Amino acid sequence: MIKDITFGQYYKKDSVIHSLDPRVKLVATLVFLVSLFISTNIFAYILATVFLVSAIVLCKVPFSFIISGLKSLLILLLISIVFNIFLTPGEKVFVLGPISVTREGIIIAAKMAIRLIYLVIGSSILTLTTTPSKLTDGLEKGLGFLNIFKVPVAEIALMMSIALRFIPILIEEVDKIMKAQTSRGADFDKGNLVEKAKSLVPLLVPLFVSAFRRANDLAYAMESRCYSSSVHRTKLRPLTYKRIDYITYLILLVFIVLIFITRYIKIDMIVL
Amino acid sequence: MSILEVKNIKYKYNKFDESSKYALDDISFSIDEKDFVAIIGESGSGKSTLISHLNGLYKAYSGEILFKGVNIYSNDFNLTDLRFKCGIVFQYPEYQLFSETVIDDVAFGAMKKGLSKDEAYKKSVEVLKLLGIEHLKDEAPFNLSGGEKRKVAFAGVFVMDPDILIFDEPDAGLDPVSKDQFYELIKSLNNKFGTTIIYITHNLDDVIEYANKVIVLNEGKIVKTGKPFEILTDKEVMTKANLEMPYAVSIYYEVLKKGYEIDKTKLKFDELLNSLINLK
Repeated sequence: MIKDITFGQYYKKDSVIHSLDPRVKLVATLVFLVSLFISTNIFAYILATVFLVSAIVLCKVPFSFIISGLKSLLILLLISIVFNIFLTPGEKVFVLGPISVTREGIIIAAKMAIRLIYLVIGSSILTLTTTPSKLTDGLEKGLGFLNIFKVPVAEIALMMSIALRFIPILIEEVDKIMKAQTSRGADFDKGNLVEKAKSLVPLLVPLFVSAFRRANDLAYAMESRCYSSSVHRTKLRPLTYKRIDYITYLILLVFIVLIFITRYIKIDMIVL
Repeated sequence: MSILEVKNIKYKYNKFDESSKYALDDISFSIDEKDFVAIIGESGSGKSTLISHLNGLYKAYSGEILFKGVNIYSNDFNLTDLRFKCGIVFQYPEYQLFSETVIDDVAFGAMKKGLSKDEAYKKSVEVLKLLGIEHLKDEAPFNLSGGEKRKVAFAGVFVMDPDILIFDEPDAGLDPVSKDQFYELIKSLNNKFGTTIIYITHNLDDVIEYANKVIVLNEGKIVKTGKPFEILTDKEVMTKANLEMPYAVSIYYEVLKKGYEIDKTKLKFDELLNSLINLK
Protein backbone atom coordinates (compact mmCIF):
# COMPACT_ATOMS: atom_id res chain seq x y z
CA MET A 1 0.00 0.00 0.00
CA ILE A 2 1.66 3.18 1.24
CA LYS A 3 4.98 1.38 1.37
CA ASP A 4 5.21 1.75 -2.39
CA ILE A 5 6.28 5.36 -1.92
CA THR A 6 9.95 5.32 -2.77
CA PHE A 7 10.58 9.04 -2.88
CA GLY A 8 12.97 10.01 -0.10
CA GLN A 9 14.02 6.49 0.80
CA TYR A 10 17.57 5.22 1.07
CA TYR A 11 18.53 2.26 -1.13
CA LYS A 12 21.59 0.40 0.06
CA LYS A 13 24.07 -0.48 -2.69
CA ASP A 14 27.80 -0.30 -3.13
CA SER A 15 28.39 2.24 -5.89
CA VAL A 16 30.50 5.27 -6.81
CA ILE A 17 27.57 7.58 -6.21
CA HIS A 18 26.88 6.07 -2.80
CA SER A 19 30.49 6.61 -1.76
CA LEU A 20 30.64 10.28 -2.78
CA ASP A 21 30.84 12.95 -0.10
CA PRO A 22 27.27 14.12 0.70
CA ARG A 23 28.33 17.74 0.09
CA VAL A 24 29.31 16.83 -3.46
CA LYS A 25 25.96 15.15 -4.02
CA LEU A 26 24.09 18.13 -2.59
CA VAL A 27 25.98 20.51 -4.87
CA ALA A 28 25.50 18.13 -7.82
CA THR A 29 21.75 17.99 -7.24
CA LEU A 30 21.60 21.76 -6.97
CA VAL A 31 23.66 22.20 -10.15
CA PHE A 32 21.43 19.71 -11.95
CA LEU A 33 18.25 21.48 -10.86
CA VAL A 34 19.64 24.85 -11.90
CA SER A 35 20.75 23.42 -15.23
CA LEU A 36 17.18 22.18 -15.86
CA PHE A 37 15.78 25.65 -15.42
CA ILE A 38 18.35 27.49 -17.49
CA SER A 39 18.11 24.98 -20.32
CA THR A 40 16.68 26.69 -23.36
CA ASN A 41 17.24 24.33 -26.24
CA ILE A 42 17.47 20.71 -27.18
CA PHE A 43 21.24 20.49 -26.69
CA ALA A 44 20.89 21.47 -23.06
CA TYR A 45 18.22 18.82 -22.56
CA ILE A 46 20.41 16.21 -24.23
CA LEU A 47 23.26 17.17 -21.91
CA ALA A 48 21.01 16.97 -18.87
CA THR A 49 19.74 13.58 -20.04
CA VAL A 50 23.27 12.27 -20.44
CA PHE A 51 24.11 13.57 -16.97
CA LEU A 52 21.03 11.99 -15.41
CA VAL A 53 21.37 8.66 -17.23
CA SER A 54 25.01 8.31 -16.20
CA ALA A 55 24.03 9.04 -12.59
CA ILE A 56 21.27 6.41 -12.79
CA VAL A 57 23.65 3.84 -14.26
CA LEU A 58 26.42 4.62 -11.78
CA CYS A 59 24.25 4.50 -8.67
CA LYS A 60 23.24 0.86 -9.39
CA VAL A 61 19.74 1.34 -7.97
CA PRO A 62 17.27 -0.57 -10.18
CA PHE A 63 15.66 1.81 -12.66
CA SER A 64 12.19 0.44 -11.93
CA PHE A 65 12.71 1.36 -8.27
CA ILE A 66 13.76 4.91 -9.11
CA ILE A 67 10.82 5.64 -11.38
CA SER A 68 8.30 4.02 -9.07
CA GLY A 69 8.64 7.27 -7.10
CA LEU A 70 7.14 9.10 -10.07
CA LYS A 71 3.75 7.50 -9.61
CA SER A 72 2.77 9.96 -6.90
CA LEU A 73 3.72 12.81 -9.23
CA LEU A 74 1.48 11.67 -12.04
CA ILE A 75 -1.53 13.86 -11.20
CA LEU A 76 0.55 17.01 -10.79
CA LEU A 77 2.25 16.22 -14.06
CA LEU A 78 -1.03 15.66 -15.90
CA ILE A 79 -2.52 18.88 -14.57
CA SER A 80 0.44 20.97 -15.63
CA ILE A 81 0.57 19.33 -19.05
CA VAL A 82 -3.15 19.79 -19.69
CA PHE A 83 -3.16 23.42 -18.56
CA ASN A 84 -0.10 24.29 -20.61
CA ILE A 85 -1.34 22.57 -23.75
CA PHE A 86 -4.76 24.20 -23.74
CA LEU A 87 -4.14 27.59 -22.20
CA THR A 88 -1.05 28.80 -24.01
CA PRO A 89 -1.86 31.32 -26.74
CA GLY A 90 -0.05 31.05 -30.07
CA GLU A 91 -0.08 29.27 -33.42
CA LYS A 92 -3.04 26.87 -33.47
CA VAL A 93 -2.27 23.26 -34.33
CA PHE A 94 -5.83 22.00 -34.08
CA VAL A 95 -9.11 23.34 -32.75
CA LEU A 96 -11.78 21.33 -30.96
CA GLY A 97 -14.78 23.57 -30.30
CA PRO A 98 -13.79 26.22 -27.76
CA ILE A 99 -10.51 24.46 -26.95
CA SER A 100 -7.47 24.91 -29.10
CA VAL A 101 -4.08 23.31 -28.94
CA THR A 102 -1.16 25.52 -29.84
CA ARG A 103 2.32 24.72 -30.98
CA GLU A 104 3.78 26.81 -28.16
CA GLY A 105 1.51 25.02 -25.69
CA ILE A 106 2.83 21.62 -26.72
CA ILE A 107 6.41 22.80 -26.46
CA ILE A 108 5.94 24.36 -23.02
CA ALA A 109 4.06 21.28 -21.78
CA ALA A 110 6.83 19.00 -23.02
CA LYS A 111 9.49 21.17 -21.36
CA MET A 112 7.49 21.24 -18.16
CA ALA A 113 7.06 17.47 -18.13
CA ILE A 114 10.74 16.84 -18.79
CA ARG A 115 11.77 19.30 -16.10
CA LEU A 116 9.42 17.88 -13.49
CA ILE A 117 10.35 14.28 -14.20
CA TYR A 118 14.09 15.02 -14.25
CA LEU A 119 13.75 17.08 -11.11
CA VAL A 120 12.11 14.26 -9.20
CA ILE A 121 14.48 11.60 -10.53
CA GLY A 122 17.49 13.81 -9.83
CA SER A 123 16.52 14.51 -6.25
CA SER A 124 15.47 10.88 -5.71
CA ILE A 125 18.97 9.81 -6.66
CA LEU A 126 20.32 12.08 -3.94
CA THR A 127 18.10 10.56 -1.25
CA LEU A 128 18.33 7.02 -2.62
CA THR A 129 22.11 7.05 -2.39
CA THR A 130 22.62 9.11 0.77
CA THR A 131 21.52 8.11 4.26
CA PRO A 132 19.61 10.88 6.07
CA SER A 133 22.38 11.17 8.65
CA LYS A 134 25.02 11.69 5.97
CA LEU A 135 22.77 14.17 4.23
CA THR A 136 22.39 16.29 7.35
CA ASP A 137 26.12 15.96 8.12
CA GLY A 138 26.78 17.28 4.66
CA LEU A 139 24.36 20.15 5.15
CA GLU A 140 25.79 20.98 8.54
CA LYS A 141 29.33 21.10 7.28
CA GLY A 142 28.50 22.63 3.92
CA LEU A 143 26.52 25.45 5.55
CA GLY A 144 28.89 25.78 8.49
CA PHE A 145 30.04 29.20 7.26
CA LEU A 146 26.59 30.60 8.11
CA ASN A 147 27.56 30.30 11.79
CA ILE A 148 29.31 33.64 11.37
CA PHE A 149 25.91 35.19 10.77
CA LYS A 150 24.60 33.55 13.96
CA VAL A 151 22.48 31.07 11.99
CA PRO A 152 21.99 28.02 14.25
CA VAL A 153 23.19 25.53 11.64
CA ALA A 154 23.67 22.64 14.09
CA GLU A 155 20.13 22.96 15.44
CA ILE A 156 18.66 23.19 11.97
CA ALA A 157 20.63 20.13 10.93
CA LEU A 158 19.41 18.26 14.00
CA MET A 159 15.80 19.16 13.29
CA MET A 160 16.24 18.07 9.71
CA SER A 161 17.78 14.77 10.65
CA ILE A 162 14.99 14.06 13.13
CA ALA A 163 12.37 14.97 10.56
CA LEU A 164 14.00 12.77 7.92
CA ARG A 165 14.49 9.93 10.34
CA PHE A 166 10.80 9.95 11.20
CA ILE A 167 9.56 9.72 7.62
CA PRO A 168 10.03 5.96 7.24
CA ILE A 169 8.73 5.38 10.76
CA LEU A 170 5.58 7.34 10.05
CA ILE A 171 5.13 5.60 6.71
CA GLU A 172 5.34 2.29 8.48
CA GLU A 173 2.83 3.47 11.06
CA VAL A 174 0.41 4.63 8.39
CA ASP A 175 0.72 1.17 6.90
CA LYS A 176 -0.04 -0.50 10.22
CA ILE A 177 -2.96 1.80 10.94
CA MET A 178 -4.37 1.24 7.46
CA LYS A 179 -4.12 -2.50 8.02
CA ALA A 180 -5.92 -2.23 11.35
CA GLN A 181 -8.70 -0.02 9.97
CA THR A 182 -9.07 -1.99 6.73
CA SER A 183 -9.59 -5.05 8.90
CA ARG A 184 -12.56 -3.24 10.43
CA GLY A 185 -14.07 -2.59 7.03
CA ALA A 186 -12.70 0.92 6.48
CA ASP A 187 -12.24 1.77 2.82
CA PHE A 188 -9.86 4.55 1.88
CA ASP A 189 -10.54 4.86 -1.85
CA LYS A 190 -14.30 4.61 -2.07
CA GLY A 191 -16.73 7.43 -2.60
CA ASN A 192 -16.48 11.07 -3.62
CA LEU A 193 -14.01 13.64 -2.35
CA VAL A 194 -15.94 14.45 0.85
CA GLU A 195 -16.41 10.78 1.70
CA LYS A 196 -12.76 10.12 1.01
CA ALA A 197 -11.71 12.98 3.29
CA LYS A 198 -14.03 11.64 5.99
CA SER A 199 -12.61 8.16 5.64
CA LEU A 200 -9.19 9.56 6.48
CA VAL A 201 -10.24 10.38 10.06
CA PRO A 202 -9.68 6.81 11.32
CA LEU A 203 -6.22 7.02 9.77
CA LEU A 204 -5.15 10.50 10.82
CA VAL A 205 -6.24 10.48 14.46
CA PRO A 206 -4.16 7.45 15.47
CA LEU A 207 -1.28 8.76 13.34
CA PHE A 208 -1.23 12.13 15.12
CA VAL A 209 -1.63 10.51 18.51
CA SER A 210 1.34 8.26 17.89
CA ALA A 211 3.45 11.00 16.28
CA PHE A 212 2.97 13.26 19.30
CA ARG A 213 3.73 10.40 21.64
CA ARG A 214 6.92 9.64 19.74
CA ALA A 215 8.00 13.27 19.70
CA ASN A 216 7.38 13.47 23.42
CA ASP A 217 9.34 10.29 24.11
CA LEU A 218 12.22 11.51 21.98
CA ALA A 219 12.34 14.86 23.76
CA TYR A 220 12.40 13.14 27.15
CA ALA A 221 15.09 10.71 25.98
CA MET A 222 17.26 13.58 24.74
CA GLU A 223 16.62 15.55 27.90
CA SER A 224 17.56 12.63 30.15
CA ARG A 225 20.81 12.19 28.25
CA CYS A 226 21.56 15.90 28.74
CA TYR A 227 21.45 16.77 25.07
CA SER A 228 22.54 20.28 24.28
CA SER A 229 23.28 21.67 20.88
CA SER A 230 25.48 24.45 22.16
CA VAL A 231 28.36 22.05 22.80
CA HIS A 232 30.80 21.60 19.98
CA ARG A 233 30.35 18.07 18.74
CA THR A 234 32.98 15.91 17.09
CA LYS A 235 32.01 13.36 14.46
CA LEU A 236 32.67 9.63 14.37
CA ARG A 237 33.34 9.88 10.67
CA PRO A 238 34.37 13.42 9.81
CA LEU A 239 33.65 14.40 6.24
CA THR A 240 36.76 14.77 4.13
CA TYR A 241 36.99 15.15 0.39
CA LYS A 242 38.62 12.30 -1.54
CA ARG A 243 39.98 12.26 -5.06
CA ILE A 244 36.73 11.07 -6.56
CA ASP A 245 34.96 14.04 -4.94
CA TYR A 246 37.28 16.55 -6.61
CA ILE A 247 36.85 14.76 -9.93
CA THR A 248 33.07 14.99 -9.52
CA TYR A 249 33.30 18.73 -8.78
CA LEU A 250 35.31 19.11 -11.99
CA ILE A 251 32.70 17.18 -13.98
CA LEU A 252 29.99 19.38 -12.48
CA LEU A 253 31.86 22.50 -13.47
CA VAL A 254 32.28 21.26 -17.03
CA PHE A 255 28.60 20.29 -17.11
CA ILE A 256 27.27 23.65 -15.99
CA VAL A 257 29.64 25.53 -18.32
CA LEU A 258 28.46 23.38 -21.23
CA ILE A 259 24.85 24.10 -20.31
CA PHE A 260 25.61 27.82 -20.36
CA ILE A 261 27.29 27.48 -23.73
CA THR A 262 24.20 25.80 -25.19
CA ARG A 263 22.28 28.99 -24.48
CA TYR A 264 24.22 30.67 -27.25
CA ILE A 265 23.60 27.98 -29.85
CA LYS A 266 20.90 29.20 -32.21
CA ILE A 267 18.91 26.61 -34.07
CA ASP A 268 15.79 26.88 -36.11
CA MET A 269 14.89 23.28 -36.70
CA ILE A 270 13.36 22.78 -33.26
CA VAL A 271 12.37 25.74 -31.16
CA LEU A 272 12.89 23.86 -27.91
CA MET B 1 -14.83 -29.05 7.75
CA SER B 2 -11.93 -26.74 7.16
CA ILE B 3 -12.87 -23.07 7.30
CA LEU B 4 -9.54 -21.79 6.08
CA GLU B 5 -7.08 -23.50 3.82
CA VAL B 6 -3.73 -22.01 2.90
CA LYS B 7 -1.99 -23.58 -0.07
CA ASN B 8 1.66 -22.96 -0.94
CA ILE B 9 1.67 -19.21 -0.46
CA LYS B 10 4.82 -17.17 -1.03
CA TYR B 11 5.36 -13.53 -0.20
CA LYS B 12 8.19 -11.05 0.01
CA TYR B 13 8.26 -7.41 1.10
CA ASN B 14 10.78 -5.96 -1.27
CA LYS B 15 9.64 -6.97 -4.71
CA PHE B 16 12.37 -4.93 -6.39
CA ASP B 17 15.20 -6.78 -4.72
CA GLU B 18 15.51 -10.20 -6.26
CA SER B 19 18.13 -11.35 -3.79
CA SER B 20 15.91 -10.66 -0.78
CA LYS B 21 14.47 -13.62 1.06
CA TYR B 22 10.84 -14.64 1.05
CA ALA B 23 9.04 -13.51 4.19
CA LEU B 24 6.73 -16.45 3.60
CA ASP B 25 8.02 -19.40 1.69
CA ASP B 26 5.66 -22.10 0.53
CA ILE B 27 3.27 -22.04 3.49
CA SER B 28 0.44 -24.58 3.59
CA PHE B 29 -1.92 -25.54 6.36
CA SER B 30 -5.60 -25.86 7.03
CA ILE B 31 -7.74 -24.76 9.93
CA ASP B 32 -11.01 -26.38 10.93
CA GLU B 33 -14.07 -24.67 12.36
CA LYS B 34 -13.86 -24.14 16.14
CA ASP B 35 -10.09 -24.66 16.12
CA PHE B 36 -7.96 -22.79 18.63
CA VAL B 37 -4.71 -22.29 16.78
CA ALA B 38 -1.46 -20.87 18.11
CA ILE B 39 1.17 -19.60 15.69
CA ILE B 40 4.60 -19.64 17.30
CA GLY B 41 8.13 -18.81 16.18
CA GLU B 42 10.87 -16.33 16.96
CA SER B 43 10.69 -12.64 16.02
CA GLY B 44 10.96 -12.11 12.27
CA SER B 45 9.84 -15.63 11.42
CA GLY B 46 6.87 -14.35 9.42
CA LYS B 47 4.01 -14.77 11.89
CA SER B 48 2.52 -11.29 11.48
CA THR B 49 3.01 -11.40 7.72
CA LEU B 50 1.14 -14.68 7.64
CA ILE B 51 -1.93 -13.43 9.52
CA SER B 52 -2.08 -10.33 7.31
CA HIS B 53 -2.67 -12.72 4.42
CA LEU B 54 -5.57 -14.48 6.06
CA ASN B 55 -8.02 -11.61 5.52
CA GLY B 56 -6.51 -10.47 2.26
CA LEU B 57 -4.57 -7.42 3.49
CA TYR B 58 -1.50 -8.75 1.71
CA LYS B 59 -1.71 -10.62 -1.54
CA ALA B 60 0.56 -13.63 -1.88
CA TYR B 61 2.84 -13.84 -4.93
CA SER B 62 1.80 -17.38 -5.59
CA GLY B 63 -0.41 -19.99 -4.02
CA GLU B 64 -3.97 -19.61 -2.85
CA ILE B 65 -6.07 -19.21 0.26
CA LEU B 66 -9.48 -20.84 0.49
CA PHE B 67 -12.08 -19.40 2.86
CA LYS B 68 -14.88 -21.96 3.28
CA GLY B 69 -13.70 -23.56 0.06
CA VAL B 70 -13.65 -20.37 -2.05
CA ASN B 71 -10.38 -18.91 -3.32
CA ILE B 72 -10.05 -15.40 -1.89
CA TYR B 73 -7.87 -14.35 -4.83
CA SER B 74 -10.53 -15.13 -7.43
CA ASN B 75 -11.87 -12.04 -9.18
CA ASP B 76 -15.46 -12.10 -7.96
CA PHE B 77 -14.51 -12.67 -4.33
CA ASN B 78 -15.60 -9.87 -1.98
CA LEU B 79 -12.56 -9.01 0.16
CA THR B 80 -14.40 -6.47 2.33
CA ASP B 81 -16.85 -9.18 3.23
CA LEU B 82 -13.97 -11.47 4.14
CA ARG B 83 -12.60 -8.81 6.50
CA PHE B 84 -15.83 -8.84 8.47
CA LYS B 85 -15.82 -12.61 8.69
CA CYS B 86 -12.15 -12.87 9.50
CA GLY B 87 -11.41 -10.22 12.12
CA ILE B 88 -7.84 -9.36 13.01
CA VAL B 89 -6.95 -7.68 16.28
CA PHE B 90 -3.51 -6.18 15.87
CA GLN B 91 -0.87 -5.88 18.51
CA TYR B 92 -1.15 -2.17 19.21
CA PRO B 93 -4.67 -0.91 20.00
CA GLU B 94 -3.36 2.66 19.51
CA TYR B 95 -3.35 2.03 15.77
CA GLN B 96 -7.02 1.37 15.75
CA LEU B 97 -8.72 3.71 18.22
CA PHE B 98 -9.75 7.07 16.84
CA SER B 99 -13.20 8.09 18.05
CA GLU B 100 -14.11 10.42 20.87
CA THR B 101 -15.81 7.75 22.92
CA VAL B 102 -15.35 4.03 23.30
CA ILE B 103 -18.84 3.24 22.08
CA ASP B 104 -18.35 5.26 18.87
CA ASP B 105 -15.17 3.41 18.19
CA VAL B 106 -16.70 0.00 18.72
CA ALA B 107 -19.71 0.85 16.58
CA PHE B 108 -17.50 1.87 13.63
CA GLY B 109 -16.98 -1.68 12.38
CA ALA B 110 -20.63 -2.60 12.88
CA MET B 111 -21.78 0.39 10.82
CA LYS B 112 -19.23 -0.37 8.13
CA LYS B 113 -20.75 -3.81 7.98
CA GLY B 114 -24.08 -2.22 7.10
CA LEU B 115 -25.99 -2.10 10.38
CA SER B 116 -28.07 1.00 11.04
CA LYS B 117 -26.80 3.41 13.68
CA ASP B 118 -29.26 2.18 16.33
CA GLU B 119 -28.55 -1.46 15.65
CA ALA B 120 -24.80 -0.85 15.64
CA TYR B 121 -24.88 0.92 19.00
CA LYS B 122 -27.14 -1.71 20.51
CA LYS B 123 -24.81 -4.41 19.31
CA SER B 124 -21.77 -2.49 20.59
CA VAL B 125 -23.25 -2.24 24.08
CA GLU B 126 -23.87 -5.99 24.04
CA VAL B 127 -20.28 -6.66 23.08
CA LEU B 128 -18.93 -4.28 25.71
CA LYS B 129 -21.11 -6.07 28.28
CA LEU B 130 -19.77 -9.41 27.15
CA LEU B 131 -16.21 -8.20 27.60
CA GLY B 132 -17.02 -6.66 30.97
CA ILE B 133 -16.17 -3.10 29.99
CA GLU B 134 -19.62 -1.60 29.62
CA HIS B 135 -18.77 1.07 32.22
CA LEU B 136 -16.15 2.51 29.86
CA LYS B 137 -18.52 3.20 27.01
CA ASP B 138 -18.51 7.00 27.31
CA GLU B 139 -14.81 7.36 28.11
CA ALA B 140 -12.29 8.68 25.59
CA PRO B 141 -10.32 5.68 24.33
CA PHE B 142 -7.02 7.54 24.69
CA ASN B 143 -7.41 7.92 28.46
CA LEU B 144 -7.74 4.20 29.11
CA SER B 145 -5.07 1.90 30.49
CA GLY B 146 -3.19 -0.45 28.14
CA GLY B 147 -5.30 -3.47 29.05
CA GLU B 148 -8.55 -1.56 28.64
CA LYS B 149 -7.50 -0.14 25.28
CA ARG B 150 -6.80 -3.66 24.14
CA LYS B 151 -10.23 -4.80 25.18
CA VAL B 152 -11.84 -1.87 23.35
CA ALA B 153 -9.84 -2.68 20.22
CA PHE B 154 -10.96 -6.28 20.54
CA ALA B 155 -14.58 -5.19 20.99
CA GLY B 156 -14.24 -3.11 17.81
CA VAL B 157 -13.44 -6.26 15.87
CA PHE B 158 -15.73 -8.65 17.70
CA VAL B 159 -18.75 -6.42 17.05
CA MET B 160 -18.56 -7.47 13.38
CA ASP B 161 -19.51 -11.05 14.33
CA PRO B 162 -16.48 -12.70 12.74
CA ASP B 163 -16.33 -16.45 12.11
CA ILE B 164 -12.60 -16.34 12.70
CA LEU B 165 -10.84 -14.16 15.25
CA ILE B 166 -7.15 -13.53 14.69
CA PHE B 167 -4.91 -11.97 17.34
CA ASP B 168 -1.38 -10.66 16.97
CA GLU B 169 0.31 -11.24 20.33
CA PRO B 170 -2.77 -10.54 22.45
CA ASP B 171 -0.87 -11.14 25.69
CA ALA B 172 2.06 -8.77 25.09
CA GLY B 173 2.17 -6.12 27.80
CA LEU B 174 -0.73 -7.53 29.82
CA ASP B 175 -0.30 -8.28 33.50
CA PRO B 176 -0.66 -11.97 34.44
CA VAL B 177 -4.19 -11.62 35.79
CA SER B 178 -5.53 -9.73 32.77
CA LYS B 179 -3.75 -12.19 30.53
CA ASP B 180 -5.48 -15.19 32.12
CA GLN B 181 -8.81 -13.37 31.99
CA PHE B 182 -8.25 -12.62 28.34
CA TYR B 183 -7.51 -16.23 27.44
CA GLU B 184 -10.48 -17.46 29.45
CA LEU B 185 -12.61 -14.96 27.56
CA ILE B 186 -11.57 -16.07 24.08
CA LYS B 187 -11.78 -19.69 25.16
CA SER B 188 -15.39 -19.07 26.20
CA LEU B 189 -16.13 -17.36 22.86
CA ASN B 190 -14.62 -20.38 21.19
CA ASN B 191 -16.86 -22.74 23.20
CA LYS B 192 -20.02 -20.66 23.20
CA PHE B 193 -20.15 -19.24 19.67
CA GLY B 194 -17.86 -21.71 17.94
CA THR B 195 -15.61 -18.84 16.85
CA THR B 196 -12.39 -20.11 15.33
CA ILE B 197 -9.41 -18.56 17.08
CA ILE B 198 -5.97 -18.01 15.57
CA TYR B 199 -3.35 -16.22 17.62
CA ILE B 200 0.33 -15.39 17.61
CA THR B 201 2.15 -15.81 20.86
CA HIS B 202 5.52 -16.20 22.53
CA ASN B 203 3.99 -17.60 25.66
CA LEU B 204 4.26 -21.36 25.21
CA ASP B 205 2.89 -22.23 28.66
CA ASP B 206 -0.48 -20.89 27.61
CA VAL B 207 -0.31 -22.68 24.29
CA ILE B 208 -0.53 -26.01 26.14
CA GLU B 209 -3.39 -24.71 28.21
CA TYR B 210 -5.62 -23.32 25.47
CA ALA B 211 -4.64 -24.21 21.89
CA ASN B 212 -5.67 -27.40 20.13
CA LYS B 213 -3.37 -26.86 17.19
CA VAL B 214 0.04 -25.27 16.78
CA ILE B 215 1.85 -23.93 13.72
CA VAL B 216 5.58 -23.39 14.09
CA LEU B 217 7.26 -20.93 11.76
CA ASN B 218 10.93 -20.30 11.20
CA GLU B 219 12.41 -17.97 8.59
CA GLY B 220 9.18 -17.87 6.63
CA LYS B 221 8.77 -21.64 6.48
CA ILE B 222 6.54 -23.98 8.42
CA VAL B 223 8.62 -26.22 10.66
CA LYS B 224 5.73 -28.37 11.79
CA THR B 225 2.02 -28.25 12.50
CA GLY B 226 0.21 -30.47 14.98
CA LYS B 227 -1.27 -30.76 18.43
CA PRO B 228 0.46 -28.76 21.18
CA PHE B 229 1.93 -31.79 22.95
CA GLU B 230 3.31 -33.18 19.67
CA ILE B 231 5.04 -29.94 18.81
CA LEU B 232 6.25 -28.78 22.18
CA THR B 233 7.74 -32.11 23.20
CA ASP B 234 9.54 -32.45 19.86
CA LYS B 235 13.07 -31.37 20.75
CA GLU B 236 14.17 -31.25 17.12
CA VAL B 237 11.38 -28.84 16.12
CA MET B 238 11.92 -26.65 19.15
CA THR B 239 15.65 -26.32 18.48
CA LYS B 240 15.08 -25.64 14.81
CA ALA B 241 12.61 -22.85 15.57
CA ASN B 242 14.83 -21.46 18.35
CA LEU B 243 12.13 -21.86 20.96
CA GLU B 244 12.46 -22.65 24.61
CA MET B 245 10.45 -25.47 26.12
CA PRO B 246 7.54 -24.49 28.33
CA TYR B 247 7.63 -25.54 32.01
CA ALA B 248 5.20 -28.38 31.59
CA VAL B 249 7.38 -30.01 28.95
CA SER B 250 10.53 -29.56 31.00
CA ILE B 251 8.79 -31.22 33.93
CA TYR B 252 7.63 -34.03 31.64
CA TYR B 253 11.20 -34.69 30.49
CA GLU B 254 12.59 -34.50 34.04
CA VAL B 255 10.04 -37.04 35.21
CA LEU B 256 10.95 -39.33 32.30
CA LYS B 257 14.62 -38.95 33.17
CA LYS B 258 13.91 -40.07 36.72
CA GLY B 259 12.56 -43.29 35.23
CA TYR B 260 8.80 -42.77 35.63
CA GLU B 261 6.11 -43.21 33.00
CA ILE B 262 3.91 -40.20 32.28
CA ASP B 263 1.22 -39.48 29.69
CA LYS B 264 2.64 -37.22 27.00
CA THR B 265 -0.78 -36.09 25.77
CA LYS B 266 -1.78 -34.68 29.17
CA LEU B 267 0.35 -31.61 29.77
CA LYS B 268 -2.26 -29.03 30.82
CA PHE B 269 -1.76 -27.79 34.37
CA ASP B 270 -4.51 -29.88 35.98
CA GLU B 271 -3.75 -32.97 33.94
CA LEU B 272 -0.05 -32.81 34.64
CA LEU B 273 -0.69 -32.24 38.32
CA ASN B 274 -2.94 -35.30 38.40
CA SER B 275 -0.35 -37.42 36.61
CA LEU B 276 2.33 -36.25 39.05
CA ILE B 277 0.17 -37.00 42.10
CA ASN B 278 -0.62 -40.46 40.77
CA LEU B 279 3.01 -41.27 39.99
CA LYS B 280 3.77 -43.63 42.84
